[in-house]
Amino acid sequence: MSRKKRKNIRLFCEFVVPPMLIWALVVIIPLVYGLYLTLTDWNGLSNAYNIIGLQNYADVFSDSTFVDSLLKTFIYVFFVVVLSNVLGIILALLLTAGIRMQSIFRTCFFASNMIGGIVMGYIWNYIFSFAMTKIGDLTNIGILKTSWLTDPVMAMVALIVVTVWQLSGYLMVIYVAGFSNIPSEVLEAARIDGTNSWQLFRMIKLPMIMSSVTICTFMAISKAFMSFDVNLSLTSGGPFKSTELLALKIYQTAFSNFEYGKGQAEAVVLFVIVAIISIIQVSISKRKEVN
Amino acid sequence: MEKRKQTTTWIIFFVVLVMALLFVMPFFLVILNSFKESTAFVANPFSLDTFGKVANYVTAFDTMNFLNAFKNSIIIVVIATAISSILSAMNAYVITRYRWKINKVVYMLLIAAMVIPYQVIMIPQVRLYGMYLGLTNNIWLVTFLHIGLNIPFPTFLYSGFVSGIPAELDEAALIDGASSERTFFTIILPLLKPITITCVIFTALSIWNDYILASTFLSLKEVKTLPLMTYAFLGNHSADYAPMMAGLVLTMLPVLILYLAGQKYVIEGIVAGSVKG
Repeated sequence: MSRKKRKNIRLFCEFVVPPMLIWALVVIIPLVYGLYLTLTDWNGLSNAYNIIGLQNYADVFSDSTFVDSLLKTFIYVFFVVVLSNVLGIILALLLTAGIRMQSIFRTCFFASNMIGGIVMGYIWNYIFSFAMTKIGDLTNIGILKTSWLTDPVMAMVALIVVTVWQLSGYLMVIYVAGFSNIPSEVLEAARIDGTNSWQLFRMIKLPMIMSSVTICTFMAISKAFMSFDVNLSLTSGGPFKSTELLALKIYQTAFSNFEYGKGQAEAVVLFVIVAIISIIQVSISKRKEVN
Repeated sequence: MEKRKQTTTWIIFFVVLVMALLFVMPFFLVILNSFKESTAFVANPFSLDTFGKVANYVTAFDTMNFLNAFKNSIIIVVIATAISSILSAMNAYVITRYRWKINKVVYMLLIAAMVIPYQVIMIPQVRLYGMYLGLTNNIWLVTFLHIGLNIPFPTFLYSGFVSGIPAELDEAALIDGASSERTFFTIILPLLKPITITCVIFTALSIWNDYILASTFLSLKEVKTLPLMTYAFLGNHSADYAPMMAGLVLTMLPVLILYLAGQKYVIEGIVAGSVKG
């Protein structure tokens, strides 16, 4: 073996192996071991378990509460992804319109991303329970008079509102960078050609930020599918399990019902769904990007 | 024409102002009501009645076991962030600078790993680390798990930054007879300072705000982190809302202060992390 090759192997072992080893111990080994656990009926308490084949997967898909939770998750993800991107783009457009105090506003819009989901969920829990009902009483607007969190449909709306409140501030930052990267000559040329604001946005700005749209949609999809903290502290899945999203459902199946094997099977289903949707989304929107 | 443009700018300014107020309203309500009595809060969250009570903070401080929870959070955040950042920087340096086949594999693995939801490794981690190794209620295990979870994204951020540093710098050092290791620590590492600040802020934030991992492994009061204590404190369904509000303020205050001080790096970090995903 040449001296150079030995040196390279040493460098690899010193610099790449330690982080990758820790990562493998924390992520990859549990991931693979988790696939094996879905074939068992482990209850989380005893050390013993039986191998039951694919029974857990059969149970998962014949469980109406799981299918229900899956459908709710899809609805939630759809609205969160669409609304947070639309609002993120609107905020970014407004902020790049050349107004004063731009950076102070940016700080305000982004601030919600600094706090964790648990704290955020609680803050909004108080707002829906006390502040909004107060506004409803004062203004006599019917929909604000009773707390949204006590109604199955409105509780889901509340969950979407809170998630969008946080996520749109995050996506806004990426969109601001996207809009600022559009060469000013392009915008100038379009202006000389006499385009109005809407045409300018639709024909020039939007196509130029398609790579930002790709990454923001990707982020929104994975964040929304993994929503857990805010679900727990805002609605705890209620009322009557109407807002129990998949990530929370998995937690309950394992840690409240002691069906660890089944919970793990649900988690694997979530993982496969996120992976497939992410791959499809990235490949579709990559095709739409302008080179 | 010029005048019309100015009017439009003012309209946009006011629209943005109103939206910004709506966005920060929740924070103001929580802070305002954390200084009021619970009854005044329930009666009208927007009023200034009984404003000025500090007693809520004393109650919250005790109930949350604040100093202890704060200490646990700080230990986990500081150690995990420091180790994950340095390991990621070293990792990124070698896989970006040396075009070996295995480095491409490593890079692809890390990118693919970013879509793994925590839920899918949570239960196996409980069995492997909690049950087999008996490490529940151990903050060092939680620290270790956070290090592992925070390898892919920082490596990705560092990798983008390293490819922007001219390779001639390393080559010059190598020709002078310095080893690759020495080149990294004396020449490259100092240049990584801006991206390191970004990585540190990102990693520290995600660990500070983590609930699910900590709640899976930490159940004793003595080892709980701040978000866990907030939840335990709030989860008891009493009607004493004002101290709870004070507890929320205490939990978010440290990060909000850091944010106001270092927001430039936070914003830059998001942009850096979003290019070429």
